[in-house]
Amino acid sequence: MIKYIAKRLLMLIPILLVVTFVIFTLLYITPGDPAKMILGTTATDEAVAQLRTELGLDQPFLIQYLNYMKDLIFHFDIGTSYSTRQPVIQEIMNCLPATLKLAFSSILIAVVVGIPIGVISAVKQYSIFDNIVMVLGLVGISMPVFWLGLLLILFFSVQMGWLPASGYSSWQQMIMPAVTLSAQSIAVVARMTRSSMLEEIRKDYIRTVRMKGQTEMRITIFHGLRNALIPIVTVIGTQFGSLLGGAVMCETIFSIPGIGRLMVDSIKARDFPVVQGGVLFIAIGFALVNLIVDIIYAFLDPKIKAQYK
Amino acid sequence: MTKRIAALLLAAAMAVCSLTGCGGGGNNSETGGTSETAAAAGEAKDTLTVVMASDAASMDSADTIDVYSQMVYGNILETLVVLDENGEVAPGLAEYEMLDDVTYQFKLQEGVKFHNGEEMKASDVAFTIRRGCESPVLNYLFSEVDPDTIEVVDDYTVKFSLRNPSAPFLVNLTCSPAGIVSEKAVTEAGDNYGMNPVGTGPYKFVSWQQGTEIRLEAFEDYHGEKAKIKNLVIRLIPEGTNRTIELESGGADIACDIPTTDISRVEADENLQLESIVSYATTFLGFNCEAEPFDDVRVRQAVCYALDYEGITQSIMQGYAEPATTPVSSELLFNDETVEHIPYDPEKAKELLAEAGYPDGFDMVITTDERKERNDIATIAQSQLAEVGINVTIDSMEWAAFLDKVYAGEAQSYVLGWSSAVPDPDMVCYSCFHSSMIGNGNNNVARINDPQIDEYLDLGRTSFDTETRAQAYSDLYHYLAEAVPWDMMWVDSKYVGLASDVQGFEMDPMGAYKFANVSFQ
Amino acid sequence: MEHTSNEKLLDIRDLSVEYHSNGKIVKAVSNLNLSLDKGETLGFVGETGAGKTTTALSVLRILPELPSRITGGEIWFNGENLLLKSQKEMRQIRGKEISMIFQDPMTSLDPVATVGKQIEEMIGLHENLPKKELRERAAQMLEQVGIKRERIDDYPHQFSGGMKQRVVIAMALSCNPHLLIADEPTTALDVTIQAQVLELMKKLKQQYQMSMIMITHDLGIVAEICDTVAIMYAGNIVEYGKVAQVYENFEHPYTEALFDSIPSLDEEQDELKVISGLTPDPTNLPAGCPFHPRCPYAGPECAAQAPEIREVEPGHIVRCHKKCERRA
Repeated sequence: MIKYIAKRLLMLIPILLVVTFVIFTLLYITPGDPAKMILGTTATDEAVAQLRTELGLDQPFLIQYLNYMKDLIFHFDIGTSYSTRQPVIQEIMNCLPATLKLAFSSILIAVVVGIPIGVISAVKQYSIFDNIVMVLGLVGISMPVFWLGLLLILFFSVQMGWLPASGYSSWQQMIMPAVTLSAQSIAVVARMTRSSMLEEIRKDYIRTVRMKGQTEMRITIFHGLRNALIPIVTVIGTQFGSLLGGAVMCETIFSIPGIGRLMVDSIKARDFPVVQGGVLFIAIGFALVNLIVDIIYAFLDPKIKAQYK
Repeated sequence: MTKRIAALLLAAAMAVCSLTGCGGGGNNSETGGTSETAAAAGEAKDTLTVVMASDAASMDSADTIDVYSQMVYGNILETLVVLDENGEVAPGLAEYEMLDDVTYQFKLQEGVKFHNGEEMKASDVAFTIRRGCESPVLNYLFSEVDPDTIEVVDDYTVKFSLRNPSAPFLVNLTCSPAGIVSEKAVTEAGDNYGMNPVGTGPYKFVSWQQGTEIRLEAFEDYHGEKAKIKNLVIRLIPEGTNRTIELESGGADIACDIPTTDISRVEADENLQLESIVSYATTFLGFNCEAEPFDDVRVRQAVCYALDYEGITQSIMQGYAEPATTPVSSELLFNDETVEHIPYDPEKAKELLAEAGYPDGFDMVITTDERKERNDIATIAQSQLAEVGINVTIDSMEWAAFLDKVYAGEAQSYVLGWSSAVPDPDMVCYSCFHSSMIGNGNNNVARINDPQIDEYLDLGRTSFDTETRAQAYSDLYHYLAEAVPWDMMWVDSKYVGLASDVQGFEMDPMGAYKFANVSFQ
Repeated sequence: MEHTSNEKLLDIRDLSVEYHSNGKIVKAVSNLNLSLDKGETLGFVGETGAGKTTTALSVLRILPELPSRITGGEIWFNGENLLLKSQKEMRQIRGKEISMIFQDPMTSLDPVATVGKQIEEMIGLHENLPKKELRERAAQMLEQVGIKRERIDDYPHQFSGGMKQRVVIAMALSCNPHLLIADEPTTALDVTIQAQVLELMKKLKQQYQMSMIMITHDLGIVAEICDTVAIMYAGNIVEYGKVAQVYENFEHPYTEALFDSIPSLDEEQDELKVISGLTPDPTNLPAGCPFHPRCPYAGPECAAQAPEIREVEPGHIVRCHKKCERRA
């Protein structure tokens, strides 16, 4: 198992190489001059040219890329932000706690709410509960984050004054952003749980356990759900992965300084090093989430664990 | 099995809780109601909370001059000279003397302390000016300074020369990015200086939680009148409505950049005050005067006659911006109120078009960036120009791409805005209208090449007599109102919301507010 | 059949079960009567879809809830009507009094639990034992069925089909039930393994003094292991008796056809003999005797009226209008 993990970690390297190259190229060919963005329209062209030279932007593409990779591989240095002149790694580390907090809380809500809903829905297929859940699920997936977020703020902050509208330190501040962001994940997790459970509870071994005289509840959870978990865990993993980088709307509305916002702002400002560093981080994050999901598979399914030797 | 699940859930919950503990510790904003600094009757509040729209990029003036960073370091740094109530240059940290038309000598105040305890000396000033020359960001203020001439005459006297005479130079020196920094602090901090600024200003830097808030504290050893409120917290809330909500709920004392949709609400609220000021920013429809058809001034004028600039302004800005007559903000020095904008007259437009050889109109492309107001201008222009036979296509794109296109001279016409970074009109006018500023990334994007314009600009820049300057700019504005390289739309205003107990707050046309004089009733 | 319910271990009376599917009603079991003595092994024979599994699942009341309904009858077990019991009471009977093993061993076991844990679960549901003893009991059961006790922590996928079925048998017998219902337990296995498993079942049946219902379509297995046999067609029993009686003296044309279709080693055969016609559409059963469309002996009374039970000899009954004139 350790060997498997080590192998997977090594496989990260070619992935990251491809990612950096693609992003580098994309940024290079995108119109827009970072030097001009930083200096603003007051700058003279000499100033802009000077800044371009300082930032190394006047060099040919391959040289720029090789310099970047050299720093990355040999010094683990992913550069300095064009806007703030701070190390990119610093900028990203500053955003990490907020992003992780938001992502974890949302996923926790999605799991705690979504899985039971999905299970009940599957067990009571075609009932009123099931139909309501299916409709709510559709609503949850389709609802735009900013709409839900602003609605919540209007009601809970402005109208009732119960919850603060911004910030991310206290748990009261985290409720609304986490709920807003979890809406879509709850729907996805619940639907996947439902469909996976529907498949499992029709299987023969469930009948065997019932024959043993086991209670329906334990059959559903310890046999049915336990076997149904693999696609559910997969979906939780992808949801979490996308939450890591994609919570921009939520971060903006609730004034949470996360990676999503950092990325959008940096792209607009053409702050290339931050964009590259951010994408790298998100790629690593996603790969790690996938790895963790695969490891969880091993614990869920003994056949898979055997493959990891 | 149950135990394992319970253990996993508990671990997850604990992870979330522990993350709750670390990270955003500084934010003490409470629920709607009173903030934690709200006074019990009689107790003085000692913290001023300000909310702004974007985080500072850096505290180092040599790194950035964006308005949010300026608002912060503008309270930390001080400049050699300042502008008085009449808009004239007056002594700040130093008294100045012009030894000849390019040489300046500054005599510093003695006993001025930096936040790190060191006394400000001529060496610090020399260091600051040299730094300004080398920084591309500060180039717009210091480009004329010849660094080889910077001389420390004695501990409190500095001297340097410009390459060419520049009347606006001293005015430019009153801007916060020209603030004096401590040589020791900068050299010691190295790359980290942007996170730990040191100045002589009434507030000193305490902490910066990036993305969340910046804390400043009144400087005990300030050489002048100390800041009235001890603690200054500047918090970041990007969403405009949320800033207003924060103000209404008492979480903030001052909210910058109130969105237009909230202005009437703030005005109507008895517990809040609304302050506004015309800013240094203008918005306009610009032309490429080098290429057809806008190389013909009659065609440009025709477009101006065809567009109802006042109607457009009212419709888009709902009364929250003033229609503009001059190419730069009316708040800059040497404004002339007699300048008249070409009026709305579609018939005259058609006449001019026929005269210029376009009796049936022509096809026109308006390029704009993604901002809603700018797209609105393009849309309204499209329908108004259709009335005179001009067929408009709108090309809307992302900001950086937009800049690329406009600066390359590829945009036939474009909706753009310009903001002055200094109170002196020379900076904007010269760089935008002087023939030497065409191409190579320079700012004359209208590409207008007119010797008469150049003459007015050179005069404004080089004559040191205020009246001559005023006349030169007046002539320039009148001329531009006929030559119309830009069809002016409006001048933006800035809106700030204050809690009812805030007093002493002064508006600033750039939005880089200073807080030393603010106090609570 | 005149037996009091006290003697019999299992007495199914007039059982009717329906399935609802796509708006249609399938009469899977119609007025079925069947009984079993203590220690008796009954072979339950019929084609797929005849209703054998449905009958078995009804006894344990583990029919799939939504589509199925028991519409009538009684199931007496040890003096009590199972159809009147609550779910809680049924749970105590399942596994402890009556156990069942199913057709496909590949899918009968929970893939993510060790075989030891699955057997322990069965025992733990009915007996309150400390963990160590549970494990010991499970290990013993494995040995009973010929599996090394060291394999107690292996997962189902690590066993072959035949060994999986042994595990299933071990599990089913671990609480020493009075009645074991085996639903085609060897159909999915190949012939040599089949023989092994049957041998095992015979041995255990003896050892545990168990009654058994062996559902199968294989007359050979019935001959090997069963005492009595019931032939089922279209939801009801058409012939029942001791194995010797039915095998040597079958009455019902369907039974005849079944035996006839067994290929003979002596005769030369170019084609397998089949029963003409198709199994009836369960949503639309033929009027009268359900077999009459395919019956070579059918007469007008067969379409008109469903046949009553007729005794051929003591202990041997048949549902047919026609007396058998075929044999001497």
